[in-house]
Amino acid sequence: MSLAMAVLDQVGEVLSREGSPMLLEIHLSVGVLSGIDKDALQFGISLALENSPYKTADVFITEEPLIISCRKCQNQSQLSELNLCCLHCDSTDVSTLSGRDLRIQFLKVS
Amino acid sequence: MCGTCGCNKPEHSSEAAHSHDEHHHHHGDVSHEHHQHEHSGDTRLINLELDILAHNNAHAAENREWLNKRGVVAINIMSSPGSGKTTLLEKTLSKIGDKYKTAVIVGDQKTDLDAKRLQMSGCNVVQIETGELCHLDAAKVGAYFDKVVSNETKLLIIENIGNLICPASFDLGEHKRVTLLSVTEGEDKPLKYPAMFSRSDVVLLTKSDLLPHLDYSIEVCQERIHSLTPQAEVIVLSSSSGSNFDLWLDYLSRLVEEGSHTSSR
Repeated sequence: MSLAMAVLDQVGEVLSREGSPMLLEIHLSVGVLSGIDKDALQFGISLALENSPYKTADVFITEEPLIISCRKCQNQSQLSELNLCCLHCDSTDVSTLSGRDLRIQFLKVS
Repeated sequence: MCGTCGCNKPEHSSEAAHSHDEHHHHHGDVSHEHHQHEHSGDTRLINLELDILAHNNAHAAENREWLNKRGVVAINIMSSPGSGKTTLLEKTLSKIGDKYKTAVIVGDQKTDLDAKRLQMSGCNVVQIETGELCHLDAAKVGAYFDKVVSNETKLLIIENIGNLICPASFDLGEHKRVTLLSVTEGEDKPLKYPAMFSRSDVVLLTKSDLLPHLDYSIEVCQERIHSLTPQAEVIVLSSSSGSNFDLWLDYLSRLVEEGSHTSSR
């Protein structure tokens, strides 16, 4: 399923449950490690909206930062570069807390 | 257009969306959504923090559970087009096909050429033609499990569509992710496609027989891979010459023998 379709399907489900209000804005966050290009997604969703009941809705996409947690020193680091290494102790034994997901943050409706 | 790279036309069933003069709120029974409403004049915000890939991930979890119950280990093989996935698999199946009952699901946008090549091994192979979609997803792959996995199957290999971008986002229910990168593609691809490589359990640097003809540093490429996925196993090999191919086969054997059923993510 294309991601644009997935976004609109999820939006449609939510709106249906909320009494089908008019959709004004869709706010998304895209993780830096999600593999998703913001511009391409923006274009895909805009195109999908044209063929939907929500063609007047605006789409806003923000980038979700890459935040890791170090298993060695227990600290968290927000990385500006894609180098999965703890900024506090240089350990590479880390887990990713955020930065991989594509989320619908919120909808603005009337 | 696929939402990420422009490869599929969206089809969306129409839904009536009409405004209400009164606020009618009712909350659906979805455990992963948080509905908070804020009101400002005639507009309101519906806070969701909803994971778009939740549906796919749920299907992937079901796939993984299905495989675990049957003692089948699954690997998802990804790469750009032409990195040598099918050639690697041809050789792999010829070497281990008799030792471990292996099934293969092949994804391509068009044709069943790869499946026909791999069927020569005698293994159960099925082709998924995705049309305009540039990636496999969990629901699509899971629908083929019954067709290709038998009671004796120990290893399921999923050959994904040649694409270093979109497949990275879609968990198929595999136990391990294997990414191929041929030495002819250069050392910078891990940095250019971090989503793919950061999720890889194994990276195979293929076509190593061509190294004498290239200005290429294995060390630089490995360093870049490990900057994204420190724990990944990197194997430099050649399917055509057989160089280090035994290391890849050893990895597969360990995987099957250990029955690695824990998700790597």
